[in-house]
Amino acid sequence: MIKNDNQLAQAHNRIEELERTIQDLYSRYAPAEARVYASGLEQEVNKKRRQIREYNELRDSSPEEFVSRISSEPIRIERLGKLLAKLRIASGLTQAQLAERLGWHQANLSRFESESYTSQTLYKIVEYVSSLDISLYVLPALTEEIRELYRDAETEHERLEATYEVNTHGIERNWYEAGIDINLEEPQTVTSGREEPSTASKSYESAVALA
Amino acid sequence: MLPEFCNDGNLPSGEYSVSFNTLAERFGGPSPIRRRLTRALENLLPVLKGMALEIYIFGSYITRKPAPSDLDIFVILHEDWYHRDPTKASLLLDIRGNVSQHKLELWFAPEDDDRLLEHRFRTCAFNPDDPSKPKGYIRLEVYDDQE
Repeated sequence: MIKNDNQLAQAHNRIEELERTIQDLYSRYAPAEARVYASGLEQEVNKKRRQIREYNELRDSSPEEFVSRISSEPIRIERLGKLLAKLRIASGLTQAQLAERLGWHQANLSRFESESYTSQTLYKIVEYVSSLDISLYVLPALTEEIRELYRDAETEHERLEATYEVNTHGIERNWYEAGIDINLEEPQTVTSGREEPSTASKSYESAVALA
Repeated sequence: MLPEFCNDGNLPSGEYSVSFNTLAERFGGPSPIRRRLTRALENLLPVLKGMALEIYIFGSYITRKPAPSDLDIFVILHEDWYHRDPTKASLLLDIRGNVSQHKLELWFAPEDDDRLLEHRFRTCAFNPDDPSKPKGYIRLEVYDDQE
């Protein structure tokens, strides 16, 4: 995944380098043989192109659009770092800007977003998402049956109905299974001294399957 | 002997020569996907041994990731086996296609192509998303005189 402009530039350079190498292979070998050596490289070019497209789309979207888009896609817990990075990019912040907002060193934030970094604490995760005005909920994962219910929900009302079904009947119908869900919710507007759930607030469910 | 992982979850920069058993002991579990990938590699090795001068393992399989998505294998082809025979090319593409079902990603290079070898080794030895970050990779000791 591309997480900053520096990596974006590196991805473009890498594509150029790979394409030069592929061209070179086809100029030096017979087509059948060149295909053997180039197939992996072509695959990498396609992967880099997908990553660039994803990064540009994230930068052009808003956190609301991003959260809405992932609402029906399962997210594996080990990809939490990637999810956080995507939320930051969709919020229009660079790693340096968010690090400053959090009072962290940029290198620490970069490591924090790394997929293979294993020292994230729950407190730090909450601190990170809170600074983007997003709340993160962890719930038991749902079976395929209820995931379908969410996938089929096209309107906000249907999503709320699905949530109601899960909350009311989830346990008796054995809808939960080992794993957790991440629920992203936009911050609720507090209109008076008393905190009330805003009817305009949106709730998004996103299943996290444990491998 | 393989070293501990760095903070970023990769092996420290460098080339490590190990037997298949050592590789499997370190990376062959505990997750089901790791067990499946390791079994698939074990099944493929006799096929590769006949054609390979060297076999290298790199990518997410040899990191701390509990559930790597695939297993990357870089094979340097023995010229004695290959001889620029076009039928061998289609055989290699077939093998590549077949093992990809088991999430094994095969990369081939002939032993006398320095340019391609250099390019492949850079892919093995550096983070693909950040080429300034080196990482370790593994050379499999697959022949008796290497063990």
